[in-house]
Amino acid sequence: MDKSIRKTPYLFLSPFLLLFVLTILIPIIISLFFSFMSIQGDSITFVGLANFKALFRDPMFLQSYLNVLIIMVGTIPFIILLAIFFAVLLNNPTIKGQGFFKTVYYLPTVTSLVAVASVFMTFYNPMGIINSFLHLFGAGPVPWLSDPFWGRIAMFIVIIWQGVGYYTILFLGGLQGVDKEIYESADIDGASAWVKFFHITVPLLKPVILLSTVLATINGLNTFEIPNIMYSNTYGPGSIALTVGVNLYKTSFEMIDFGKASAIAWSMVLVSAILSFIQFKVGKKDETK
Amino acid sequence: MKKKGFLGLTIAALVLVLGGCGKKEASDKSSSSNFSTAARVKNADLKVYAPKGKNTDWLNGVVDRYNKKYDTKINLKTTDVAPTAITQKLTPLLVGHEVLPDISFIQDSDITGILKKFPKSFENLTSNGMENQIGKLIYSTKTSSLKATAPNHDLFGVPQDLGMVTMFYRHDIFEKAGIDAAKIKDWDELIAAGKIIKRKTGKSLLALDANGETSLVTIIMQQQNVPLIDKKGNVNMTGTATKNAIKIVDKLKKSGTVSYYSSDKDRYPMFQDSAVIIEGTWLAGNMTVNYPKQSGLWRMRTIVGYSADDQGKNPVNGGSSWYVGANSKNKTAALQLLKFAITDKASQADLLARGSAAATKSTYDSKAGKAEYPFFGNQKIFDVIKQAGNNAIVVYQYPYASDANNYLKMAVYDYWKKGDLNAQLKKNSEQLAQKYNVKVN
Repeated sequence: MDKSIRKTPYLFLSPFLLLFVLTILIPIIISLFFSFMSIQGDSITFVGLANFKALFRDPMFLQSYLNVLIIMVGTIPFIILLAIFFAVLLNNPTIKGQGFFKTVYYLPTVTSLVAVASVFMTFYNPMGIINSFLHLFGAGPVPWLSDPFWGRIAMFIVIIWQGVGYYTILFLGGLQGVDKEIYESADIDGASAWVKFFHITVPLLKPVILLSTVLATINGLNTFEIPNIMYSNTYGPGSIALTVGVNLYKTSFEMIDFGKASAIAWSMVLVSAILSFIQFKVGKKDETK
Repeated sequence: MKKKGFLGLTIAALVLVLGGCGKKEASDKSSSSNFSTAARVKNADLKVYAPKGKNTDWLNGVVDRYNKKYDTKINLKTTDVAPTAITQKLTPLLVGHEVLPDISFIQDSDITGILKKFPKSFENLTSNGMENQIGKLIYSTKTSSLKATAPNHDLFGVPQDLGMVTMFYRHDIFEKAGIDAAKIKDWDELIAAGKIIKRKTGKSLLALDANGETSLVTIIMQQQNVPLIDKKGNVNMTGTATKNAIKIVDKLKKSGTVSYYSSDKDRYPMFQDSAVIIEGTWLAGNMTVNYPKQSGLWRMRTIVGYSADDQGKNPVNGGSSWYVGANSKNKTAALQLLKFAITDKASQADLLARGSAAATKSTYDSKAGKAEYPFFGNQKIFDVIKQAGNNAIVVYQYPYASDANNYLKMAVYDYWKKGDLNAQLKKNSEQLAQKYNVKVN
């Protein structure tokens, strides 16, 4: 093969590689290096595993993981199910104005989280729109932001509302890749809509479901803005707003402890990797059945 | 060989790009110790990180006066940085040894963390002689607080405002209830007044945080001369002062005279609808902008005494200062300007006129300090701030101060929900101690 032809792919890849190395790889390596260091201005001292040990001495570190686990359990299934539901609806060729609906569903994803959280906080006000609506039906005011249970529900609602659109577009892409003839054959065999959904759509969407679950898990682990804004940089009632991201932020920018903050970041990388590995293993097992 | 060539090319590109990224602006290499003897800088564009608003408007006014007086051409190039975002904005520059802005506006609660990790990041005003020139003008509580947790206990910031806590009250509501708010001596009397107000006007006395009231708890602790964090960095969370403060908040709760807010979003609307707000003096300036319909209805006084026998210290909450980057491009010009800002009577008077509680003592005796404010029923509000400033507590701002407040908040919330104050304070204080390796009293 011509030498120049063999070099061409590398040439095309090089801008991406360069950006990847500069903006992702180097910071990752630096943060790994920092996680074993104590940083005081210009002086950087090797402290071994001290930063990681310090994390486990702090009971709130484990609490932060428990909180994100609860957030993931409370949001990811709803996000995935709603996204599939909306994707199936949007994939129906008889529905008019698909472009409009796609935009509407996707809009929350590109809306500033600060704006989203602020608007929802107005809704969650003790005398806000939601409690006023509940009052019409004789229901008492819900302590949306001052009770651990309702505080979590309040966060779940914002996270689900904000996240569904992105996954809807992913599922829609998956659905549009499904060969229409499969559905036509099923129609000839007299399959109902439910049968088609559970026996054709869901199995064919499995790779997208797996990818979406992994992405949603990683996003869930990184939850920061919504609890931080809703509870104004405090930990909220029953410390529900203390997520790993909030802990990382406070360690970085209040304590300015980059060593410990890097250790927290690497614990997140590790947990993300383990959860993704489990999800891919489970997904693969299902495929082989 | 080909692979090596490609790798070499990539590395070379990387070095070039990284070299470009790391390119630094030239910094002012002059020694900071001779800023006052140095010739006045005639032309400079000063890079400023500050939240746009009354403080930057004031600084622009200072520049106008400065340029007029010294026939200079100093300009401000201001980047709008929210007070809560300043650390995020500065730390990447500090870590990367980048040139800092000439002037940064930093809250007193945030500076300790920066100076602890980067002690040479900002101009040391003690070693460059500026403290000698301006120190006597400033309330000692402000300088003591700034110096207590700074490297070598030196002064690094040019104080902007005092964070005195005062009591704002609705004159019309108290009048309707037949109570003279100015005569209320202590918390018990205030609570008794609150009950009458509730009965006669339906208004709440105060608004508390439903997620654990700590603002009032720390204020009442300070009245007892016990700040949340002491000079040595120990956290006062399980002691008598904390428990006494929580007991007073309990009394307020049980009196049925308080309302509750559950987020910062509904905090100030709830405050606005209450008869009393206990907050930093900074609120005075904000109230005139945010509560225009209530003009003439509010008054200010020093906070009610801790008890009938013991008036207590005046609490402190907030406050900010200006900092000059030690490696900044125009640090001499910045230092000269800030020295002018704090020593120029017209500039300090202008600060008061904008509703900020200036840190300089003599300003309160000037004409501006005696001004009457229509929003406060033509009250001379700076008399109140001066009185508060003369009896203020010294607070210590350690980097974990904000988190210590969070742990106290959790303890108060847990106590409200589960009872057993001692156990909740002990549990949360132990967790704080484990996290930061600090002693908890």
